[in-house]
Amino acid sequence: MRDNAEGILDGIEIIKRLVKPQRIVIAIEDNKPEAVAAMRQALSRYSVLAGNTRVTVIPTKYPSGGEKQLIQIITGKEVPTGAIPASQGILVQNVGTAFAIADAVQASIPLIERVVTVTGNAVSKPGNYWVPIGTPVSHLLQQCGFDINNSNQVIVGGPMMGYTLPLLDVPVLKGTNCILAPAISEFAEPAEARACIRCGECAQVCPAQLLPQQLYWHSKAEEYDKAQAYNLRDCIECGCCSYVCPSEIPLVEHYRIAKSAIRNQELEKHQAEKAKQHFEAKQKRLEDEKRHREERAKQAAAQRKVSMNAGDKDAIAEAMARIQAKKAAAQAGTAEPNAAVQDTNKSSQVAAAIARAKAKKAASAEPSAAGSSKNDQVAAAIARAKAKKAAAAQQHDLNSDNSVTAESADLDPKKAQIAAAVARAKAKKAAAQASATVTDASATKAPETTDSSDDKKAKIAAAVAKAKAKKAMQAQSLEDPAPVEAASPELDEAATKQAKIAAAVAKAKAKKLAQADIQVSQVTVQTTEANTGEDPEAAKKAKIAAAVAKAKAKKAAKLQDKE
Amino acid sequence: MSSYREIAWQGLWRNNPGLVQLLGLCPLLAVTTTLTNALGLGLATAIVLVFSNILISLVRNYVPKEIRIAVFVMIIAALVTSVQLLVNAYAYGLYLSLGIFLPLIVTNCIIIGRAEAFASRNNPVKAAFDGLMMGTGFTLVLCILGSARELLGQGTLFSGADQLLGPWASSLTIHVIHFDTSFLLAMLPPGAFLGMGLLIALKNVIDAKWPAQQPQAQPTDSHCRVSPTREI
Amino acid sequence: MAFKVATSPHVTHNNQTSKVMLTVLLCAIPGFLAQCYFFGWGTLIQVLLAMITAILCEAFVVKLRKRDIKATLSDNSALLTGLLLGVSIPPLAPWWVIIIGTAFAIIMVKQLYGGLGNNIFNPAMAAYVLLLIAFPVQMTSWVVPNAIAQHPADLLASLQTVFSFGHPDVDWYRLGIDGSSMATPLDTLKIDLSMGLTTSESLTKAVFSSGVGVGWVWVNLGYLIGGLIMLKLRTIRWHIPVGVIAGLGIAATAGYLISPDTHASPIFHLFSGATMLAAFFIATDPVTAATSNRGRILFGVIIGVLVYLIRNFGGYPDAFAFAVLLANLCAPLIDYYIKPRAYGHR
Repeated sequence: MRDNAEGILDGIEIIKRLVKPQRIVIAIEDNKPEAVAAMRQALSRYSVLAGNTRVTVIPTKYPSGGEKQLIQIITGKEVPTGAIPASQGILVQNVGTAFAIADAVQASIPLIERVVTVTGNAVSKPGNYWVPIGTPVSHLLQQCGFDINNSNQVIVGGPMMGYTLPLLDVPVLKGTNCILAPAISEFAEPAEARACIRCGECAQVCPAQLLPQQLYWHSKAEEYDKAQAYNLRDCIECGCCSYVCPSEIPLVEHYRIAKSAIRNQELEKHQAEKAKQHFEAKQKRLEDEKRHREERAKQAAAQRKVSMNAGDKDAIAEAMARIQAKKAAAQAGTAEPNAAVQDTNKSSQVAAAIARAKAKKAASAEPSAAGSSKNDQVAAAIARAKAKKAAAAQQHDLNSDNSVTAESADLDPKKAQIAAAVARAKAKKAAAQASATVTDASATKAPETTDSSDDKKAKIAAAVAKAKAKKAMQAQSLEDPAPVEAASPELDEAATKQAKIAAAVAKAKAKKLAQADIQVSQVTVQTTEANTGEDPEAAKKAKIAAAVAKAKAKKAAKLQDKE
Repeated sequence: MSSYREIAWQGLWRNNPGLVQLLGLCPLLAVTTTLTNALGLGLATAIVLVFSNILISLVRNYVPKEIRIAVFVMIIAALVTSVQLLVNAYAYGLYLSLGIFLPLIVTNCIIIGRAEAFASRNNPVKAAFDGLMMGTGFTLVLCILGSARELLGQGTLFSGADQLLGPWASSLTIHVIHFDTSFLLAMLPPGAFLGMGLLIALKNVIDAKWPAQQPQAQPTDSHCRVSPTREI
Repeated sequence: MAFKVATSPHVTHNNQTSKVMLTVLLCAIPGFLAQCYFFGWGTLIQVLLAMITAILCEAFVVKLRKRDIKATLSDNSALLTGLLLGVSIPPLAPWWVIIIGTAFAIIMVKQLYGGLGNNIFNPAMAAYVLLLIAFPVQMTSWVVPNAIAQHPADLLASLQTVFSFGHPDVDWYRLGIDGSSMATPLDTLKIDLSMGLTTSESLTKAVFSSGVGVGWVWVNLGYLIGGLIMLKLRTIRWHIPVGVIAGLGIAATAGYLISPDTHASPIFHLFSGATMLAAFFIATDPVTAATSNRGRILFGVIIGVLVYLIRNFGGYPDAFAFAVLLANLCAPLIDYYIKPRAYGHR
């Protein structure tokens, strides 16, 4: 202030232009009379500010340099707790800040140096120095004649609020106002804390008018809510209470510990709150998805119900298709197994096609997991079985060139009847079992969400199953890929076993998969029937799947041979 | 649920009504001015305790849970009245010196406490024994405090014993210390409080120094029982 | 090189508890000397006995608690308790009275509650009450001031009486010049009032001189001077003494104005008995008093008013011990309800 009064006033003028205050008060403690004189003199020559600016001298009493205390001294007002002085329309700045502002605005010099007070008996040249920010403290002390042998403590800041440095290789920061290097015997050893004698001196000297004694009791007992009730957060940690305590209790230490504990508690609470929010959002999302799925399943079931109840002749047609398929599969099954049912190959084809279409519709109407009612699952299974049989029938029709029925002559009609009956029973059982397995599968898979890889796997597996079934059929076993009984004598054991294995594998795969199975199986069924042209990609897939199935069948055969 | 030894230990030391449970402090502080008074009230309390425990134990299965306290108090009151009449008849001097504290045995929390905690859950024999032990423990504390106060306050022991034990006991009085000035405080309630506090402190010191002397309760949960357990 | 790491603040006011207690002890000397001058050597003997017993008892208990004896004893609080109790009891009370009292004060009232800073009741006053109840005869046998005594006691006689190995007992020294045994001024006034005398008639007795008790006024003045020195040294703050004196003074003035014949004047009340001693030395014990400034004024006023009431309507002549103990009971409540407004709060 003595050397750079003009500069400070320049800075103040800049601030004045920005903030446009009603009054500007420069407060200087009364132990600096020369600075007071210098500032007053400079102010008298500064016409712009002289009007509403004055220099006032305040008593030297720690901690009058604290912002809130200074406001109270100068204006008599108090800053409400938790608020900043700006809320009262007051701005408090350091003279060093004002000088730096002037430098920055007028000379375009950023804050690269500041005044640092170096003092203490361990330095031979104490004083106020302009120090570039970033200067190592060791260098600064060395320049000031630091006697390292006479010192065991270096404090950044003043004796009341400064913090000790564990080593000197630290820089001077923009907030380093003082380096205090006391000699070894200059500061007394902190004595051991005694019991509090409740003298109340701490409350007498507290600038924030708190009750340090109560804060001490509660901080020590870790009753942080009570400490906060006594306004612990208003403590400015000035150190006055610890200074006067006759029992030498480190009060500010206790408050710092309490404050950090409270901060940790609040942080934990905040994190717990956030975690809870996340958890709740996730729960909500999962519930929403589940509900959505259930709604769609319900819709699909309703639709399927509608479509299922749309006429009995469909059921008859399906039954007929079933019979036709069996007939066709039973060694170019020509005999009419069911004398009551008279239908032509064409009608069976048509019925099969109708059944297939229905199955496809049902499957497409229910793309998601068959986590719906059992009826729907049963219907799906039935449709699946029908489709399989229709496929087999179709295949055989294709193979046998649409003259299946005509080639029934080489079969013993009775045997064919028996075989057909058995096949019918098996179909029923397969349907039931498939539905059961599908129920199981869907039950276990209901909460899972399908992803693309599963879909692909499902498709491949379904195709494999289809191919296997086909192979089994081609190997002259019963066309039903469900658990086969060695009832018909004209089948050879290997084929039966293969069929069994294939059937078991198919069952397992059906168990593993859910609704995708239906859809995919339908798709693959379609593509395999069409064989070519319709869907090249699907046909390719089917071919791949068939190859895979063949390989697997070969392996299975090898295993069987080993056995 | 516990052996007789355990009951005895609880009543006399570990759960002593006067020093540990801190029940029945009113008579404890008021009538222990002399050893005789203390002994008299202690015996009266013990008799009431034993018989009330027996009676309550006998009716424990027939008393509805909701009104059990009222029934217990009625039984206790009947017993106390009997005891009071007996003392009035056979030890009139004691009756006069005990004054109001004899009928106040009804309100003594030890009796209702043991009734609730023990007699209503155990058979009469055990209940009687428990009452006897608790009463003895209480009487012991009363006697110790009474003798201490009498010694400090009057310098005698057993003064007035003839009121309790009969005319022959008047020779029992021992003059231990001759005071010019007796420690008046010992005869007043504050002294009784201080004395009791010191007794409790003494018991705690002994407890701290003699952990091996106390019989441990049977550890019932340290191993699995395969055989069916007894009713607890 | 490793530097010492510590937390701020790094300096303290060089005013430890031990210094505070020592200051109080030293400031009590004027009144103590006055008391010795007027009431004989017995005061000194009692105080010395009390101090020695206090130190020994405190050392004993601290050892039981397994703490640092030197650290505890060096805070001088035991010495202060001994002094305050020693000057409160009659100078020629037997030796065992003061020893029992001091032992009770240090062991039971102070250490059993947790040591310095944790006791609820003022140890000296609690011990005084114990002695008063336990040994009423000994505790009410004050000697006559030497100025008007028939047989002023010298050192040897005092020692003999206190330690009970000599012939003259206390009553010997209670004989006034006129041959009748005299009580303290407060006691005299109380008895006379109850016998129907007016205050002015009572005040004509030899134990009084110009409206105040002989010797007692100087004792109180001595303690007043000591108290003012302490105020100047900032060892104590003014709130409690002013509260006590104001409370007693206002109550006494009110009584005197209502009925001068049956109530003593305020001056009499303020300068007799243990008024100044209690106001500056006993009631200001920080451990047992309230903490906020307004609370302390209230605390002092409670003591003053209670003293007046007990002196006039109670059974004991000197009331400060009871009043202080009762106010100690009120201190936590006062602290709970009277909290100073913090900065920034309305």
